[in-house]
Amino acid sequence: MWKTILRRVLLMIPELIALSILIFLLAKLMPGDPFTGMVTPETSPQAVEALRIKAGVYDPWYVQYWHWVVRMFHGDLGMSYQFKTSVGSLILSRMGNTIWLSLLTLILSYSLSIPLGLLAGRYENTKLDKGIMIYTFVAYAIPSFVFYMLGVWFFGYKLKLFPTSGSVSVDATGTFGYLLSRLDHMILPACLQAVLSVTAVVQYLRSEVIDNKNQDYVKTARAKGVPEKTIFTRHIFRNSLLPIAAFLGYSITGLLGGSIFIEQIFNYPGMGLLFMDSILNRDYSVITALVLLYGTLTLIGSLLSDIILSLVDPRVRIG
Amino acid sequence: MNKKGVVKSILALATVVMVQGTVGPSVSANKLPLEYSSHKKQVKGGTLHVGLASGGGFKGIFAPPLRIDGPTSEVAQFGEYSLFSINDDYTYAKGGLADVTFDQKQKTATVKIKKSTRWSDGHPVEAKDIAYTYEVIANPATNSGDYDDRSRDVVGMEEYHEGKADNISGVEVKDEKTCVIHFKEMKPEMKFPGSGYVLGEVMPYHYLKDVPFDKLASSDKIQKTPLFYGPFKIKNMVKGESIEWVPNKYYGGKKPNLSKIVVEVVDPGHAAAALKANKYDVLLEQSPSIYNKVKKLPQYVVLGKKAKYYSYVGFKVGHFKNGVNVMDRKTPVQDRALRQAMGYALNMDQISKKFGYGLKYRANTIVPDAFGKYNDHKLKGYPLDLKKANRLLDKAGYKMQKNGYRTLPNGKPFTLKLLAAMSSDNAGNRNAVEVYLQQWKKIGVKVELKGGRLQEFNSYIEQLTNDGEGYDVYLSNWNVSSAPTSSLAETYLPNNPYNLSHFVTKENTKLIKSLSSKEAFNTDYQIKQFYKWQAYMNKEAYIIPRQFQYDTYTFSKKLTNVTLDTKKGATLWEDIAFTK
Repeated sequence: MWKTILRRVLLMIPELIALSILIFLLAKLMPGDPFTGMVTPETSPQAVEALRIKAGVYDPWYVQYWHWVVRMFHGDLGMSYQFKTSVGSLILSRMGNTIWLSLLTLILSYSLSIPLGLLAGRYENTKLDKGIMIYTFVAYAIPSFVFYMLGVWFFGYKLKLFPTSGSVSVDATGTFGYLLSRLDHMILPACLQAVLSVTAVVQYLRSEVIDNKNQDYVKTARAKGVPEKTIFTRHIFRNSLLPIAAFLGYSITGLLGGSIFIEQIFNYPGMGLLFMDSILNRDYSVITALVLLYGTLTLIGSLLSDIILSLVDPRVRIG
Repeated sequence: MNKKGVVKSILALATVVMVQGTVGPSVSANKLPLEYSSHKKQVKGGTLHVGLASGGGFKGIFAPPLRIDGPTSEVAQFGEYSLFSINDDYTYAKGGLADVTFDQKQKTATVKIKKSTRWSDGHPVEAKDIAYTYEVIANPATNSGDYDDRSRDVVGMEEYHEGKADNISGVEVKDEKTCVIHFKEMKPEMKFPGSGYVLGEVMPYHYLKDVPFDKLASSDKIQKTPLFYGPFKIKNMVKGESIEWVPNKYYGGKKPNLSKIVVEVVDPGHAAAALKANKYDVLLEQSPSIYNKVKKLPQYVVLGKKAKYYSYVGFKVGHFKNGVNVMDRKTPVQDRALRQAMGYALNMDQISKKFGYGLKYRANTIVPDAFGKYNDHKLKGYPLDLKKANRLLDKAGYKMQKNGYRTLPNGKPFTLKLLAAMSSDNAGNRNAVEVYLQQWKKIGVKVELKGGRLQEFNSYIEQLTNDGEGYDVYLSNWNVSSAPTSSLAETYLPNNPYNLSHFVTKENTKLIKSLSSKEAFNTDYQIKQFYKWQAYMNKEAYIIPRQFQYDTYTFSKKLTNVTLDTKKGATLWEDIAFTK
């Protein structure tokens, strides 16, 4: 297996090179540049033009690409035109926020969807199952931003239970107070996201449970007199987890991607908000760094999923 | 149209207000209240919660010459004060943190900083700080967007920029508190702080001198622990989200009434809900749609002031070639009668009412009436007059066909293409554009959106400023940030790339040049020339004025001493107080 993993990792190199060229070209194809927003009757067009030339906006793409690659190998992803800070430190500062929020969302989402999936599968075609199915369909169909807005309005402004904006309170004092404030700011967005993101897991789990219910090993267990509860929680549950495990690799890498909607609505400064901001402002260095990061994460995610799957199910072997 | 322009004009809100007495009958007086004072007794202290409706966080570069984002200017206004006070007519007033005097003969401006003016670390604000800020602007390593034609009017600025001199010869530090700035040429608009010839916001040399110019914008001293000489200083900050301001005990003005200000970015989508829940005492910067939702809330008062803004319909009649605008485009809109007719076909009064929620109103010229007497209120502009529009077209030979559209005078059918951008208030914008198209249809002029849709903002700007093809008519607007100076008009000079219609006439150039001529030091003469220019622009109709608008701030009625008025507004944040 180690050989396979190594081979997959090596394969990533040409994939990433191709991806980076593609991103670079696409970013340059977007109309406008970081200085487009500076058009005012008072800004001298010559000054803006000088900034453009200095930033190398007019160099051919391969020249810009080469400069970028050389700098990247020196650990320098460039400067953000908007934030006037290095792209590396900018992304790092946002990554923490996104990881914590996504992790909380993931935990909440799985702790909600696994029991629901199991229950729906076990009590197939009952009112409970139908209720859960309706919930998952609604969660799948509802536009996320509408749901988030409603959530902010109801829990944030109407009931005033949670903060409605930001990642931490500006006057939080002490380490404990700071952590508590961070958690306080994450609960509402994480819950709202978790409630919407259950569909896939519930549906997969439900159909796996239904499939497994009629398997021979279940009949054998029943025949041996194993209590029904144990059959479901130990035998069927473990076997039904396979497709969920396959998801997990992507979910882990998804932790870093962030969500544009939730971050925008809560003004939560994570990766999603940074990505959107950099696209709107044509902050090329940030866009290319982020897309490349997302690309790398996706590749790693698929590898991780394969590895996890082979670990939980010895019948599956990658190679 | 732009972020920085928006920033500046909104910033000006706190410091500048129009001259009420000079507004004539046809241009309306300020319809929204400018001030609010409670009859209840004011109390000392309290935390003011301020919301800033913005789709993204603030970038946090606390140095005006290095910044390119709007939200930072908004959240920094509690500490970033101007050194100068301002009169009702926008000119310099005595009694600020510094005073300036001009010498026409010597071509100098002398800035004297008051003894009591100090940075928030206790260090006095010095003449060296002014000289240093000019260097920051001119040094190519800082990439400052403020290095423009005006700053180049300072003697020695260009030499320093090109590396031929170690310092700017025209910025002379006379003593610790006195700085003399030498100009190549004196300009009439120098009397306005908003013109930017004399810097109103400076950076602390003693604090920043060890930071290399190329690292300045990214340094912690600018982004994390900046100094201010305004009434408040930063105590805590969560970058991009919120800032906690506390009184700056070294402030040279009056001691603030509040004990704390917490300013926070809120998504525009739920800004109105936040106010309904009493989450903020003040909401800065709001779109007409937010205004429409909050104006009736009983616990708040919305104050508004005319913005230095105009929107217009432009006609693309040429190109920008080798640094000059030439009117060489083959398009039906070369015909003045057609342009005028299209102007008279627009029902801007109704559109403003319907989509502007009372914050927008029809413009009579392209000089915003926020500039008071500089706007010729006798000019009517282009009010709806379909009969006149039809008459103009009939007379010019545009014959109406059975299909409801006219042909060109040569008998050929024609379709005009319209370039318009998406905006944050997209639904309203799209509907308004549909109304324009319908209005033009009513006079038999067929106009279609370029590409059948509104353009994405960056793409739109790119097409406008890079001489894009495939459109004859465009919708645009300008935020005019400075005082009523010639810069507003100079956009329409033959060598200006932002002359987006590319129209050039000798008469127009002559009129614009006269606005900054020697004679124009006489304000009456300058205003007279402004009137002539506005009348000429309206007649030629290359640019048809559409709308002016209000900038609004929402304040809680728990507050008192709230004003957007010129003089009082300049010290808003130290005057504002809670009531019992």
